[in-house]
Amino acid sequence: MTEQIQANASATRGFFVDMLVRDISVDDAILDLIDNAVDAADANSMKDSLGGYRIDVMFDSDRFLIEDNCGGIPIEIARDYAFRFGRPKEFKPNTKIGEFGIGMKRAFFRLGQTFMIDSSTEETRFSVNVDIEQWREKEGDWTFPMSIQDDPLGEAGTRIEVRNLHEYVRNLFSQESYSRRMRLDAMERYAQDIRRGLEIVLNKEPVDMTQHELLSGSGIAPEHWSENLESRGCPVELRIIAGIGPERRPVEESGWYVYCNGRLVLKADRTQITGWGTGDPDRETGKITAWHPQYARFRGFVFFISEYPSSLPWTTTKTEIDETADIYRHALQRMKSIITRYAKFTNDLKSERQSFEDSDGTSPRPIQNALDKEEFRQTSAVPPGKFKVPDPSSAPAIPAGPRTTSVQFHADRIRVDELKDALHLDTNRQVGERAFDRLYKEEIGEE
Amino acid sequence: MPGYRPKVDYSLRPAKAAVRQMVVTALARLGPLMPLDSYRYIGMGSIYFRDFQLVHRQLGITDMISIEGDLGAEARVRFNLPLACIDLRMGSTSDVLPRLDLEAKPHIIWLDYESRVAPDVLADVTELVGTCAPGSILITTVNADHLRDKREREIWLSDMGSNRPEPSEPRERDEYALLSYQVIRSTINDALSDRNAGVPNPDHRVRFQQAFHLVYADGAQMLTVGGGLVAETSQPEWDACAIDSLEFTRAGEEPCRVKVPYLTRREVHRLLGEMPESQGDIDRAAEEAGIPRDDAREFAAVYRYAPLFVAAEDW
Repeated sequence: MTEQIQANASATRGFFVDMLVRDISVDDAILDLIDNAVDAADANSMKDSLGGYRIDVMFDSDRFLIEDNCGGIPIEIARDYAFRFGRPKEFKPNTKIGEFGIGMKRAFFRLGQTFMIDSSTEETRFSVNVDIEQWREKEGDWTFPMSIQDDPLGEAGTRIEVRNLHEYVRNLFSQESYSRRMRLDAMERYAQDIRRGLEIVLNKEPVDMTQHELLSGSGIAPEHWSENLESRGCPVELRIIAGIGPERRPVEESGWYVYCNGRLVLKADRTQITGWGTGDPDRETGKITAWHPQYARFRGFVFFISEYPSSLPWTTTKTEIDETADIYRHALQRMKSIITRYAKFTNDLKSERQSFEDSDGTSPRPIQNALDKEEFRQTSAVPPGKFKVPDPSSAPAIPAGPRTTSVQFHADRIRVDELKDALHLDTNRQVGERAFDRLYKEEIGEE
Repeated sequence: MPGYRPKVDYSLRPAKAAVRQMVVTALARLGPLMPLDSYRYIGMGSIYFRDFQLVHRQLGITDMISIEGDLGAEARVRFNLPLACIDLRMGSTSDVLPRLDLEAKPHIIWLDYESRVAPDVLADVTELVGTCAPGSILITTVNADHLRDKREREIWLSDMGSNRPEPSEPRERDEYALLSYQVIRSTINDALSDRNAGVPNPDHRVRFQQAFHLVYADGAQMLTVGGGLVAETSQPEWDACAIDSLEFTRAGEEPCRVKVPYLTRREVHRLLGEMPESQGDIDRAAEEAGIPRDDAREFAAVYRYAPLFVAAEDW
């Protein structure tokens, strides 16, 4: 005779809370909360513009506060879904970013010990007030007490406050650099939404796009290309903006930034995914230069925008680019062409500097002069057009200077690459020049 | 002055001259697709600029750019500029082409290389196919001669990569031309596929309508491949140009071989009396005059395009 009994496998709340926050950073917790507000604005906006919507984020060592006017959470959603851990199947949110459901609860647990939500739609209003320390010790039903108010606030929106911050969070929030870092994160992540008119204020200062500025003026123009594409039968807008970024910025900022519906999927990418060092490796057709510190000021921004997130060129996790997507291949062709033109520009600049030095400062420097003007434009204000810098090949011929001629020869590619590596050179041309100099020295003597 | 010495006197290359005239004859038919004077011509004029003169004289194009890669030749090239409307740009094609705004208007671009098909040639082709405005014409000429030296051949083939089309190991002279042709075409097709991917608007989707596949040899065997980048919606206009009805145009793998036979003035006049071929009897004329029949047939194929006599000049 066998007896069947039930072993208790239910999780304690404490265990659950600890598990939930284990893998999430404070940055992500805050961005999750902003994501929710952006989603709400997007869902409530009747048009493409997000003008008039505002998200106000404030934090110090005392508290974390996020307040928005993006529509508020309806009571039924709050009661049945918003506070659940995981989404029930029948719940299909109408959002673009948070398609896979991200927990605001997780963010509360990560930040502090008490939270207060006050949310109001045009018709309803509720508030939730929880001391997490007390809640986690309780057993029984997993609920948060909600109080329903009869008087909606003047503006439909949500106010969330977290107090009794964890010590680690408190320390973080008291550092001034942290606020700056959050600002940069928010700029990148919500660039597209900000461009659509959304206002995000972080510690009383608006988050704007000033970080993404490109040289524009005095013969320099950034690339701005836009095009309507189609993917899986759905319209997708492609926009590419690229050019020369500010000087004296960390080299890590150089590269391509690829956004899908405003979410940054590739950041400062300098790999083959965005065209650097590509071409059929066997055939070397259309070989594009690999990224090199010479391109430190390169900035490229690629935006894919669609009402249908599944038609965007990202993988199902939404964290990586799907390189095989037609619209991405199409964009990549243009990105490669921009890289090629940018590489020409840096080479021109290099030879301009070289001739300037060789001529003891007498040869003209149209490119350097244009760069020195430091006329910037925000990416959002770049007019349509092609990437341009002053073109030395159309400038009048410069007389004088050393007379040169070109010497060409073919050599085994593997051996050329070996030499390149051994001598720490970048191009075949440099290998050739080095070879010539050495031979000259041996046969003729010093110049 | 460093001496700039072109390898050949282009004015004395009859097959090349015939090909040039054939191409311009075909281009003259582009009217239904695009007004001819709306095109910009880009070529590599060297110091002779024969193609520029023809294009200006016969097509009326006044917006022209010549790309000159030999930086030491600038003075001499400038001296020889035959028209005021030619804008000279010094630099290699891969240097100059990406700087030009190729999307702004339709272009006729003749990349007239002396070199063989090579990675930088194919990179130029890729760039042009990816960026040129619909209605543009893209023509590429390369050396496609036999490579007898084993080592040279191996280097050349390895540049093509391992997935090159058949014949992957060319032996005969013809096979070099065919392989070069196929590598250029597959490069065009790849670039087109990227260009058209995800583009819903048929005005912006383009096809490559091959018009030229010419093989000729004044010395080294040369290959010319070319055609139009035609928007899908412009297909009727392209068809109306009737470029395919010209006897030297080719849309496929089979080339038109251009050969200019060596004939005396008297022989030429005798054969001209039987032209066009459909209304005369060149076989009989050839037999009467003792001209090899093949020479007479070659003559019939090129007589409207080839320079038949080189004018004698004492000075």
